[in-house]
Amino acid sequence: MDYRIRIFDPEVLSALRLTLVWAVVALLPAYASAMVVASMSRGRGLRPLRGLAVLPGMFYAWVVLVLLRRFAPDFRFSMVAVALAWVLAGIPYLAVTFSEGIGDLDPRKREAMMSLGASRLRLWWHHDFLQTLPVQASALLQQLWYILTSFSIVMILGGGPPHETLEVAVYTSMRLDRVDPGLAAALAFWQALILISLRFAIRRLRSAPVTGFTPRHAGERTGRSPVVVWISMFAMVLLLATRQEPQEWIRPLFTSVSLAVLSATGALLLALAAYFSGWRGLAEIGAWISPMILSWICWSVSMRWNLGSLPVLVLIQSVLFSPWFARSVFPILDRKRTGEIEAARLLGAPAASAWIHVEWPRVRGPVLSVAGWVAALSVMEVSSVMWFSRGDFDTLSSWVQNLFLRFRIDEAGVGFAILGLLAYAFLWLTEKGGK
Amino acid sequence: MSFECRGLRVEGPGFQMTADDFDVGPGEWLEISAPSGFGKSTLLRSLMGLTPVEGQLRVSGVEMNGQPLHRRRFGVVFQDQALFAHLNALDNALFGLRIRGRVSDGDRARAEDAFRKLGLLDRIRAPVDELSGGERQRVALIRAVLFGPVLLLLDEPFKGLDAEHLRSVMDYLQSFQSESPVPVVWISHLHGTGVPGKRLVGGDRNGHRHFQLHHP
Repeated sequence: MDYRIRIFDPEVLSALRLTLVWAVVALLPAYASAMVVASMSRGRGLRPLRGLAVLPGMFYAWVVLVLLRRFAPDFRFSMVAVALAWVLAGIPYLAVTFSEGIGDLDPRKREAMMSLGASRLRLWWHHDFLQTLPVQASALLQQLWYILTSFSIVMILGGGPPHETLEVAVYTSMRLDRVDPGLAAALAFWQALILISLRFAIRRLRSAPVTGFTPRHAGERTGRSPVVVWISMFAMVLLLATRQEPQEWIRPLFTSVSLAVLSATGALLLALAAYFSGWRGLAEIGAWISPMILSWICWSVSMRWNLGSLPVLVLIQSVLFSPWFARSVFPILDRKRTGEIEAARLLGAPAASAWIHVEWPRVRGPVLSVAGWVAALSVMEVSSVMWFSRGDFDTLSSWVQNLFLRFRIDEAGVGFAILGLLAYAFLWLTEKGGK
Repeated sequence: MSFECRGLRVEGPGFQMTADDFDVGPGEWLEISAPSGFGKSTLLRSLMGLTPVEGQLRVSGVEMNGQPLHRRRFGVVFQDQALFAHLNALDNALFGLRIRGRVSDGDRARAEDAFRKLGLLDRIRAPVDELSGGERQRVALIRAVLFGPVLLLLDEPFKGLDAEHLRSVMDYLQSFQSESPVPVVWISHLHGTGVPGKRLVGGDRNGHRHFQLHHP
């Protein structure tokens, strides 16, 4: 194995160039479209988009594949198709985030501008656009992270290794038949450098913190969209009626739910441990490290300690998802209610009890809200399951992906509906948390 | 119950503060007064145990310095009340009892009685962020008294009260003290409140801040 980190290796620079060029190509239309949608909706009517925002990359990959097969078959397995999937995946997420940003603005400022005679265009520019720049910046950064670490989309649409974007190149260099840690580290270095540089640049340019997406109102919107539930329920009944062996999907369903619950709990515990130990930056590691590298590290740990696949997968997802808790919960913990804690102590509460009585009720809502979101993401996640489970088990999403790969599209569609129902159930938690 | 303080010395950022030795007997009041910014609240917080302090602080002969906060059993009204934002007025008032175990029906009745006496019965279930400044002040006072403290430390307890409510608060405190005569140390934001008792008056002594004891 070659452990020399070859930062300027031609293979590394080629993957970097490919990823960056196509990331820009994909980001611009997604950004523009999302801005239009958000400006038109003004914080309302984005329920369907909220649901689409949690769907995994493979969903968009398959939509693009089906579309291109019909309308432009020559582009099916190309970077154009990959970019198109990135655009489609980016629009719901960016639109929901921008719209929430606009919805959170003080409406009195807008009214004041209107009363002073501002035109619609000026209102949009000075109020909606300029005021939400920090939200836009952090959402774009998040979307860029998604593109830089994108794996399934490139594998399905780019044909895998022929189009070696950063994350796919990491995967290639970490495969058992070609383990090259030096090359993988160089690729991951560029990936992290870009993201961290952008984060610091944004923080410097704007005094506002880059917080990333916080699914504050997620459930509010999904909760009032029963049509999603009915469609999914119908699909489930259909599956039960037509399939002879429901245990085929019951086991993956159970695995997915267990993994989601354990990962959400693990991510929360990791984030809290990092916060209270004073190493709060550790909770963000999952946001800056290549998921493939992370998987490889965990795999090495599992080999050393003889851990089973499932605990290691929980560990991977906990590390990957702890930034969501860090970004939503840390700012609340930072605004400590010192006076109330002191009052509780003097009224007879020991330190831990005072925290539970005073701080926990404030943190509980956001924790539940993020837990639901994280669980929904975990249910949809495919790459680390495919990379890691090594055939020991299937989650529902990897099971559905396998159906797609075997071109059992109708069954895969039903599987997706069940997956959607499950994600919806977890998003319902965000509603409980938001209230 | 009595409160004794000997050799009090508080060090803050860029200043040090001392006070004459003093005793506050059962049912007695000690008023702390000084110009704004002098450090009255700092002194009171050091008596509460929230700021490091040198000296001996004894309640009924038991040394308090070094005791964990939750074992001191001090009834406290903070300058900003520090009510628990996620609880309603009644739950705030019952917090000191609830943290020590189950709240009995008798405790609830006592709480309701206190709310009635202080003109807050119709606000008993109100979230605290819906209360006015004066109402919050009275809820904080009930919370400080209800669990049976051994010492009351009150930071501007009458702030935001009109004459009528000031009277009801004084009546409530007097009736509490007639049942449990605990010492009271308090900071006033008004002059001439008519509350009898000793006073610790802040002033300069040899370049540092000092509270001098004045007997009535």
